[in-house]
Amino acid sequence: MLMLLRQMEDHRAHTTPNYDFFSGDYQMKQLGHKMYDQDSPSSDSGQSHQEESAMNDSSPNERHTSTQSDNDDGHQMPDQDKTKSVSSLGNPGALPPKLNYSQSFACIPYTADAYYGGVLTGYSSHAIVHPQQNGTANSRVPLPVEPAAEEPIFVNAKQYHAILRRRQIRAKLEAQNKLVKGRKPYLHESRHRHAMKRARGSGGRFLNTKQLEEQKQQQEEEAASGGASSGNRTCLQNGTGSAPSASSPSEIASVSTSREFLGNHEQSHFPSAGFLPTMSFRAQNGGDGKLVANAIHQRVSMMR
Amino acid sequence: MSEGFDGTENGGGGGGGGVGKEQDRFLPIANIGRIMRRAVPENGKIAKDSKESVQECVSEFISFITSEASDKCLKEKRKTINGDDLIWSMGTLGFEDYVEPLKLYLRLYRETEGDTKGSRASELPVKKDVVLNGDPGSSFEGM
Repeated sequence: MLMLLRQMEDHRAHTTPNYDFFSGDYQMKQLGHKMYDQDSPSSDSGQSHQEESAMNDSSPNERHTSTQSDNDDGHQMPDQDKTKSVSSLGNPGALPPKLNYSQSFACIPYTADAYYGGVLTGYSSHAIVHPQQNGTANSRVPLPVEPAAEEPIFVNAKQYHAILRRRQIRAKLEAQNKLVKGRKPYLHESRHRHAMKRARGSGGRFLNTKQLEEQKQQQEEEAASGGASSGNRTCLQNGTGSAPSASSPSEIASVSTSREFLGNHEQSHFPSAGFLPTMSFRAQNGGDGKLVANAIHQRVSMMR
Repeated sequence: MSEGFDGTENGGGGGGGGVGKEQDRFLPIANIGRIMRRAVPENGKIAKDSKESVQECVSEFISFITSEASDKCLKEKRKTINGDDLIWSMGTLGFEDYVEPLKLYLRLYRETEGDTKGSRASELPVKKDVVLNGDPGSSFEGM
């Protein structure tokens, strides 16, 4: 803890925060936040919460004002325990020392405001109407500088210790050589070899059973009319070219119609009876690769 | 969530021995693509690197929430992380807007599943997976 305080003192020389390195991670977390936002039933409050977070990123210098610090003087007593953990940095170079100390002390009540539902609701509703003006919803704590970054990165005060803990855990895993280094094009060798053996049509997508039969018929016709004139060959080539485009609409239709039907249930790779399940499964192989394993899915994506 | 996690590898190929495996640290990318497709129109497509980015983000988010819940369980001398611990952890880390919807979801989930490991597919596979793998030493602990 003393080392952290010492590093934080060193960071006071910086005037403006820079989000070059860790801000990507922070935005990535927000992206995950967005995923949860879309899954949760109360999307409105989630949306306002995200706007609040985005606004904090957009205006880091608007965190403290003298008016709000005067209003929040009553919250000083309950927050004495958080004096050490919550210490915000404004613009030390641009402000006198006394004023800087006053604003630094004033940021403590804002952390307490976050715990009151009413005040937080007020900030959230305010963020919907005027996102840019709500700059004092959360106080931000500078993280210690990583070797790659040059300036401190400000994060939500509630997440400060959790982020440090996650950094230690990741460092420990990296020491044990357990982190994922680069992605492999496929996970299983046998599935990869099976996918490479499958027939592919124009554009590199897999052919389903119906398309395979059509291709075989065309090959037989070409073999039967081998001695024909060049005019007939031109007609056959045109017929071959139009076959994939003809089957493409039915392929897309089968993918879209059977999406909800299949759901999350795993379908067997070679169904014994029924043409429609085979059609749906193999069509999806050629389409989005919805239910296939990661290996085949990644192969299809690469071929796109 | 049984689909997507291939515990047995055919022929022993693919994953390396000592190096961390992709399926040990990340959620299955097919399921993530399926969730992302809900927000995309029918004729839209999602690039592979988009799915990989979201896969890393949600996996790190799960470890982030679970690490806070695990820390709480360690302090209280408990060995099992349950759903309430995760919801408390989200509230502590600044995701208060998720607390009430997830409390409702967890209550309905326990009523339907009987608080055991059910086989019914869930609308929130990420949430269900975290609940079912709740021990502090599980693979979701670190990334």
